[in-house]
Amino acid sequence: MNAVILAVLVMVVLSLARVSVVFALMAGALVGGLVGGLSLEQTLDAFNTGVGGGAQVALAYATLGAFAVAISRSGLPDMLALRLISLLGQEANAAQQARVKTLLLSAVLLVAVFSQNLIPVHIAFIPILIPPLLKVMNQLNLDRRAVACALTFGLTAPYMLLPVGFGAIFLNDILLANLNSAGAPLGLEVTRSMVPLAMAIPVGGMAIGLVVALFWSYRKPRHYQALEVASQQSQQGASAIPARPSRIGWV
Amino acid sequence: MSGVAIVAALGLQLYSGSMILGGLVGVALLSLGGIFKWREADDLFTSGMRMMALIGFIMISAAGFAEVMKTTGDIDALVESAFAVFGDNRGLAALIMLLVGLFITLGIGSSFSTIPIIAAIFVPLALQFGFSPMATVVLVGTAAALGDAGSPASDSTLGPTSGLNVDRQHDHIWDSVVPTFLHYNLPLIGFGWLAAMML
Repeated sequence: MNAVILAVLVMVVLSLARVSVVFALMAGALVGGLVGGLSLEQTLDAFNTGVGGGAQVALAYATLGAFAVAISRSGLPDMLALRLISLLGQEANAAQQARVKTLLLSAVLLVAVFSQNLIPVHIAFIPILIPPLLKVMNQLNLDRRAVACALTFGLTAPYMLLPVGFGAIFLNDILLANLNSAGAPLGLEVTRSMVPLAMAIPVGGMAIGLVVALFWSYRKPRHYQALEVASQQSQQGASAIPARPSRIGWV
Repeated sequence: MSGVAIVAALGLQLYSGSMILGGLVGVALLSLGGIFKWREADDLFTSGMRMMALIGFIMISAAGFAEVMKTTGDIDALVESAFAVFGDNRGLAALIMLLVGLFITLGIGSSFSTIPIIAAIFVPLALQFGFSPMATVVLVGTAAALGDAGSPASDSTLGPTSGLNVDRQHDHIWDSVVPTFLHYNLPLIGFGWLAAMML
């Protein structure tokens, strides 16, 4: 069996079985390397070579994490949540809540789309912008899976369709260039304008997926606890965070 | 003040291309604004790191995973072995090409890097099966994009989890990966296949 297929299967199955994704990736890499004809040593060498490239990203996330914690202490999330409650009035009716939900999801989607082209920060905006909104989402009992779907759509669909920002790299620099270099000896000529046109149909499928996710799959309210963004640190730093069961219930 | 810090952090990231610098300046601004004391910064970084530790380590090990996949040389073997199962069935050929793309992107965690791997084999193959140039674009483009959403180790799912899971109420696999796989990869396979057959 092909080592890549086997490794991916091992990784995915272990992840789905609630093994930590980190362990799943290591186990998958080990299986893939050994089946693919590498020795244990070569497999570990290759793994370690790759790991170095991820360190910079990890440090960046830690910094942004610190920023998110600082923001949460600034009281901005509480302010946003309070403003929302006053906006909705005391007796928030269902229609109003639905409107605010739609507004929030559209805003998240829009920002995610722009993060690929207009303001090409890629995913770096998420740890900055989303945590302050969690209290608002809790207030609305908004299913976070809907938010995840909106974000992922915004992160992927634009680069497959719009040839600007990261899309310019994907569609023009990589897809178009490789199609033409591979197809030239066979008389294939793909022009720049054909690419977005062709990709419109599969991306249209994703758009349908998005609508289904937001208005059908994850429409029902889901309840979350009002937990603090990061565990409270005591002055001595001695208090450990209790591992608490996080989910009240599946909806 | 928080608003200013958020804008500054994003703006600086954009300008310098460094997430680290952006985050650092954001934290510094909040500190100047008196949100927390500078000597609490260690505390803050520890909390921040703990919050992002899972995402960070998934990204690190995903990079290792991808490197092992590349080293085995089986990625090329996968693309080439796809030949064998086609027979002369055009519909099956399109489907297998899409699925091979899905597995490669899941393996190396980036749809951008999948294209150079598959294009060299898929383009001649698609032309040989009589797919039009437009259909060839769809096949290669969709095969590459497949597996970005819905992968346990790609930015497109780790990003959303990094924001939604800061209070540990959003499970990466079941709340980010599985929903996006179902809602994006399945339609991509379906519509990509249809488009390839029709265009």
